[in-house]
Order: sequence, then structure tokens, then C-alpha cells
Amino acid sequence: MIRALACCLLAAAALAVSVAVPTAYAAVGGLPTAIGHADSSPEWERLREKMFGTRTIDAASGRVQLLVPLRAAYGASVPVRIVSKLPQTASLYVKRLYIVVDKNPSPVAAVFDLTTEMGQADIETRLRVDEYSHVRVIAELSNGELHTDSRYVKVSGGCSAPPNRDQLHNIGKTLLKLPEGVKMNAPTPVDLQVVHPNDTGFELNNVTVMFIPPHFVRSIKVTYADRKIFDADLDFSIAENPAFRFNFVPHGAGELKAEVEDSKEGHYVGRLNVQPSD
Amino acid sequence: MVRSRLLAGLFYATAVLGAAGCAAPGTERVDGAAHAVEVARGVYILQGVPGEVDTVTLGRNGNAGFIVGPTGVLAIDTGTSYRHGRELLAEIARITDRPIRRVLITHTRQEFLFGAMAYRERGIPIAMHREAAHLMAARCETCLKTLRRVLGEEEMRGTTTFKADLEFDTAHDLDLIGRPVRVLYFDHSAGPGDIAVLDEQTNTVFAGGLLDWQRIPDVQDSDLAGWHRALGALRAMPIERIVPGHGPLAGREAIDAVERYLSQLEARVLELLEKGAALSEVPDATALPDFKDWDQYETIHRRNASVLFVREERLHMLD
Repeated sequence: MIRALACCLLAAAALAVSVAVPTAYAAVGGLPTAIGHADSSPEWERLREKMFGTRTIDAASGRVQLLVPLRAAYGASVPVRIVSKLPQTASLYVKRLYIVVDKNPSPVAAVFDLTTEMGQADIETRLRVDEYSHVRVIAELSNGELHTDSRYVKVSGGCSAPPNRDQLHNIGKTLLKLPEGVKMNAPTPVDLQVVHPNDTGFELNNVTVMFIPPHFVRSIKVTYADRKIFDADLDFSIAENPAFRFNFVPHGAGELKAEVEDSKEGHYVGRLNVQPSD
Repeated sequence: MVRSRLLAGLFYATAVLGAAGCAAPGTERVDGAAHAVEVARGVYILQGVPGEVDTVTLGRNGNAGFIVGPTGVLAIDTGTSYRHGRELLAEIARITDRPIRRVLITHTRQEFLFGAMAYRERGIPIAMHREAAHLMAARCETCLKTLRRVLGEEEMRGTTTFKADLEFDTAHDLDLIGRPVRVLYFDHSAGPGDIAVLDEQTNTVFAGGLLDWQRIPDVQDSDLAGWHRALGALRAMPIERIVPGHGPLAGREAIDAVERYLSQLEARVLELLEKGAALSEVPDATALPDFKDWDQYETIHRRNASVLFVREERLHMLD
């Protein structure tokens, strides 16, 4: 259902280009000047209406923070880190996180459906950012509040790298790692990465000079001992070899499992047995 | 407002010049105007300007050049736009009235190839390696779109993507201008289809993407092992002077400097990968003090760190 929403949002964003431009723009040919991180954009105004209607979105609370490199980002893989200033407790938690890249052809990059099992709703992933654009995170809390943070990202170097065309037989290989080991009953970081070209459909093959058809990871479901940690609906604004760093709270031995589905009905599973470290 | 942006850009360009401590005052220009300097008998550099792609540098960051022989001229690289290409041609014409027999494009970067239409309208055949031509066809429409957006329609007027008149696959000798010139090719190195051009009488090499000097080399298109091999091959040749892709005229020390940069970058990135660093930490954590004064340390170097990290991480995953 979220997928259908994303498609409809894509169409909305395409329409949005004709909307009047509210911020200061350079007169002759150049880029917009003096863009602030907190500024809106015509694309975002349209999307916001489609996604959240007239609901208030708090940009000043600091409840959610978005960290992205502001200089010289590598547009093919821009790391974005979402930090929630809120522990995930049953009484109040971050229920959903949306990542939006205003200027991308499909601006809604990811929708995460979160649980209290994460302990702390911090997520790092990597985005494709085609051009100078705002990147936004919107956090929906379990009490219905919406909070947001945004950054204006300048990617450098107009040319994209030639895509990797080797090792296609490895598509879907899904790896889970605990970079800081197991922290019993506390938020424990996990690195999840899927070997996948995440082709957008807009890239040309540099050998055949023909378009590479779209082929990307659409969803990931992560569980621990059969309990849901989070689900993610994803789009091709997520960079090649989709990568996520997130937390979960282990309470004992169990299997950490990631089920991955891609746009060509490919299903892949990654598993990691977690043992209490004593 | 446009004026204030220009001033800010000028300030930036000046700051970069100062920081880079560029060796040859007088030959450095910030306005991107073409200016030919003879670096060896009959061999000329048309030096680009340091800095980022903006409305001050006009993205004219790459060097071009030419070799004048008894029966004609060989041009190397074409600049960033049709307009830039015309200015480079006018500057060549100021030096010599001999006909330009061919223009070679050394590698697939916007500041070396988008002037090509100016050469074509004069009937000058455009030559490049087949792999470079393929890469250009695959991505340069996007680069051109970005350039138009940054530099404006006026500056980029008449600039289009193109198909080369001559595509080649291997190293070869050129007997076009009554003076021996060798096209060097080392397989995939700094980029697929990257070539260098050697003037054999003066042992001057136009190094294209293989060598930058006092400017951070860009690893995005590279095969690093191939690049190291190519640098080894260049080192074994009796080269006396180097026209780098970016930056002022250099001696053989540029070969070692690029080698050292690539080695330090790789070592640091692998170290971060072993430590389980997140990609967001990588650009800051890859500081290389030896190269902090080089042009684009704050941009290309930071991007290089991310490019290499992502590439090495992928290889680890496939193990």
C-alpha cells in the first residue's frame, strides 16, 4: 500500500515543477542561491500535501535529526543518518520514518515502519542524490505527532560513475553484522547490506549504450527471534548495494533475520545467530 | 544578486590559489581565458584554472595543449564548452597558422571533451579511445545537463554530445604533423580509455587523466591496480616534462606524487573498512595531511574517500 502511495507521490512531484518558486533564485542560468537547510521546495510542498494533508509537522522540536555530509557528497551514495532524540518505549515511540529527496525522480526514498524492539530509532542508510536537493526525514510518533528535519545537499562532480556490471550472480546476497558486538538488553547496532545494483532504469550501460532496466530492492523485513524489528518500503533512490545501520535490543539468543524482496520478484534472506556475550 | 555571487566565487578562487601555492604566478588565470604557453620547442599548454565548477571558473579546470610540427598541428583536448573550444582554437591560431590535423581527447571528463563541436565545425577530426567513447555516450548527456544548470545556457550554447570521428583500441604512433608523436594506452587505468600523448622529440607527455599536479586526482572511473601499472610504465619512460590533466606543468615528480596519493588513500580506506566505519564517517576520517594544499582537497579528495570505501566494501561482500 505504501508502494501505491509512493507512485502517486511520484506523479505529484512531476506536476509540482510548474508551481511558483518561493525561494530566491539567481536570474541568469546559475543555481539557486542562499538556500537554507530548513527551506521548503515546490516539490516538497506538493508531496507534503499528498502524504500528510494539513497535519502540523514540527521542524523545531529537535525530536528527529538528520545528519548528511554537506560538502562534496558522492551523489551515487550519500550517507544519511537519522537520530531520534527519544527512546523507543511502549508509551511513546517513533512509529514511522520517511526519507524524501525533493529533486529525485522518485522522491520518497524509504518508508520505515518501526517497533519498540529497536530501543532507539536511529537509522543510517545511503541515498542517490541526482542534483542539488533537500533531503528530509519525517518522523511519525505513536501519539500521532509529526517531526521533521532537513538538509540541503550539494553533490559534486556532474558525471556519474560507470555502474558495476560484474558479479550479477551475487545479487541478493544479504549480510548482517554487529559492528559493536552484542549489548544484552540495550540498543545494539546492526549493519545490514544487500548486494544489489539497485538500477534506476535511467542509467545507460557503458558497453552497449542501452538503458539498464530498473531492478531494485523494494522491501526489507527485519526480525529478531521472530519478533518484528522494522519493515522498510524502498525505492531506487536508495544507493547501489542498499545498506542500513540500525539498532535492536537482544534479550537472549536468537536469530536476526532480514527478508529482502526486489522489483523482479527476487526473494533473498540474510541470517545471523546472536548469542549473549557473557 | 548575481554580482554578489560572482564576488563570492572570485573570493573562493583566490583563496584556492593562495592555498594551493601554485608554482607559476602569471600563468594562473582565474577567468578561464585561453592562454598558450610554450613548454618545450613547439609544445604548448593551454592551462585550465583551479577551483570548482562555477560561474567564475566556468568549469574550465582542465588543461588542453597542442604540438606544432613542420606540416601541421596536433591538438590535445577541447575544453568545457563549444565557446571554450572556439577560444582554444583562436589561441592556437595566434601561435601558428599551420593546419590542425586532428584533436585527441585524453579521457571522459567534461572539461576535456565538451569543446569538441568547435573543432568539428572546422573539419578537424576528433579521435578518442573506444572505451572512452562508450563511457561518454553512457553518461555525458547528464554531465551536460548539470553544466548547463550551473554555468547557464549562454555559456553552454552550441555545446552538444557527439560521436568521435575516429575511435581506436590500442597505443599507436601518429605520423600527422611531420614530427613523431605516440599515443599511449595502458588499459583501464585512471579511467576506461584514458590515454596519454607523448611528443618524442622533447619527451613531453600530455598525461590526461593519468596525472594531475598540485590537484587531487579523481578516482571515480579508475581501476586502481591498472592505474598503478600505468604509472610504473610512465616511470620507465624517458619523460622530461609532464602536462598534467589539471594543474601547472610538472616534472617526473608528478608520477611519484600521484602514486603516493593513491597508495595513502587506499591504505586509509582499507583501515576504515576493517574498523567497521560507517560511510558517513569516511570523508572526515580520510584526512591526508601530505595533500591538504592540493586543489580540490576539500571536494574531490572527500569524494574519492567515499568512492573507494564503497568499492572496497563491495569487494569484501563478494568474498
